[in-house]
Amino acid sequence: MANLKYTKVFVFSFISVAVVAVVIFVMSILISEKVFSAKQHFKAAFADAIGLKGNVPVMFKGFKIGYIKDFELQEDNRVYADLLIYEEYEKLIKENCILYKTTNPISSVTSILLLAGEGKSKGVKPGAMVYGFDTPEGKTLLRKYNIGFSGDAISSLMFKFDAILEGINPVFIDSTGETLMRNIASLDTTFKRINSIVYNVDETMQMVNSGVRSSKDGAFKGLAKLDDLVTELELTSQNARKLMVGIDETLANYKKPDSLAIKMIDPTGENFIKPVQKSLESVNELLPEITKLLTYSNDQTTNLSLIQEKIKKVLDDFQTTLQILNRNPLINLNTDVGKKNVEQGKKRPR
Amino acid sequence: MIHGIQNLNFFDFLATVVSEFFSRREIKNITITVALRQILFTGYEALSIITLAAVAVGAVIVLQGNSVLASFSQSPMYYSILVAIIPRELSILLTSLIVIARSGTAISTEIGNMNINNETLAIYSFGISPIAYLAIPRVIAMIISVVCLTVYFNFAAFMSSWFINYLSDGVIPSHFIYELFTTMSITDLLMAIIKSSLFGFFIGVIACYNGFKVQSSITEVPQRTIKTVVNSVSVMVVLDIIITSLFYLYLY
Repeated sequence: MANLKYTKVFVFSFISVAVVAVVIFVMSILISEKVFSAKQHFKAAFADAIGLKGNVPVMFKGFKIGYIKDFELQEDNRVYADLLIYEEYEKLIKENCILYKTTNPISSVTSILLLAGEGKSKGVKPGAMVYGFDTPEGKTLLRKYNIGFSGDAISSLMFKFDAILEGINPVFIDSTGETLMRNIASLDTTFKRINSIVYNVDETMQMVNSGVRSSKDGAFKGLAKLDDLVTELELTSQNARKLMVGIDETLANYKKPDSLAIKMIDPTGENFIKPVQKSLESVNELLPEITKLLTYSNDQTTNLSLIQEKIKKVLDDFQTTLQILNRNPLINLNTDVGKKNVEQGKKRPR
Repeated sequence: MIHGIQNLNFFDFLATVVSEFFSRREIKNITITVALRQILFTGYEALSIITLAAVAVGAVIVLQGNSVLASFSQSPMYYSILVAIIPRELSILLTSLIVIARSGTAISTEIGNMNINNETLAIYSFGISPIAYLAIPRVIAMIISVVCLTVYFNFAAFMSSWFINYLSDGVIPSHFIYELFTTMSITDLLMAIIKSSLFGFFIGVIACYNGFKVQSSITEVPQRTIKTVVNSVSVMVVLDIIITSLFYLYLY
């Protein structure tokens, strides 16, 4: 009955503490969402709107630096979005930045990651366009600034696959040399094939969602292992990029008729043959590791096994592709013609 | 009138409660004292059991979540799970269950006994509407109590989660608060408040309805009390599904 005497006091305290707690909760959420912070407007371009929605956060190295306010499909079949960046992070938006859309396959939460390239770069003014990884401009920036990635294991894995794909393919597609292009037509076809195969891996990774739910530790340990392998593959892709730079130079030289023959043969092997050989060796070294991974994760769940089957198929195809590359006379040092040309050729002053 | 109340079906009773709450004639009969005492019994006196349940839930989520998520390399998802479980669902459901068990049954029994002793008839004979005098203050008190208890539940569960995190991983409070409030949104809070208000409202109305349904025999009281529990839990589950679906369809 003592309580009844102080009913009003107890009830008032009970309600007021709860109200204060709610106010604190609301204020904390608003502050953490930086509702009161000043924001700068930028534009963002994406190839599609998959995963995009209002208020999707833009993250940089684990920090929320802004969000997507609104987006629309334009006549050029691109999706343009209003990007609001908090004023304190405005300096992070530079010329060497791209946006990468990533969806966590477990939580299905999409976030936009701001990825910055190596080296110093100029900042851009508010209102400037920031390109998505999936746009041609974004892909160009990725190659130009050697843009790296930091994020969780799955996003990292997906980005690396995408990056390998982008690193391998474009130079061959963009090349304009005629005779040399005919010689490397088979390479072009081959890399287009790699393109489509590796792209399937993206789809495969989406299946990790169901795979992970039905399995336990093994699934992620397997993926973590795969992540390591993909890191190595990325290094290989960097070699491939160097190779492509070499091809670019070869193609540029090819346009000069007086140096045509020697540049084609590449007597020193520095520009073309050695980088290709190095790249192939690196990839070949990886294959036993990949086989080990497949053996290790052989007894995982059905879904994961399915993923592994897909990955195995990708790798098998990749190995076939490498064999095709090895057999190509243009880049195979083991052929007599290649060796002879290297030995007999004389380097001309450029 | 009393006869009329006993013959009302649930939806008519619900409509009468709402209409009398907004009726000028009946509003003067809604007494603050009855409501305050009900908040004292339903809210304040349930704090200890609510806190105990919240501390247990918060701790269990940390222990289970940390062990499972770490092996998936998804430790940052811990806060998402915490927010998805505690403010959106468990705090409201557990609070409501405790309130049904403690106060829903008590209200039903009290009004049932008043009916048998003709106390409600006496109130009516003074020209006071029993619904306005007995039901509405209790329903209002129930809404306030469930909302406030849900807030306390959330607070206690978060505190408990942090404490276990601190003991196991040395997580400092500022980091925990930053991660928690970055993950949590106003929509989560809104969902908790809307759900708890509606649950409180329906628990109150169902308890009063079953109390008024007791007619003449004392043996009807426990039967009606059981019905209060069963109906309240059923309505709570259905409402929970509907509200959650609506939130996920339109607000998330």
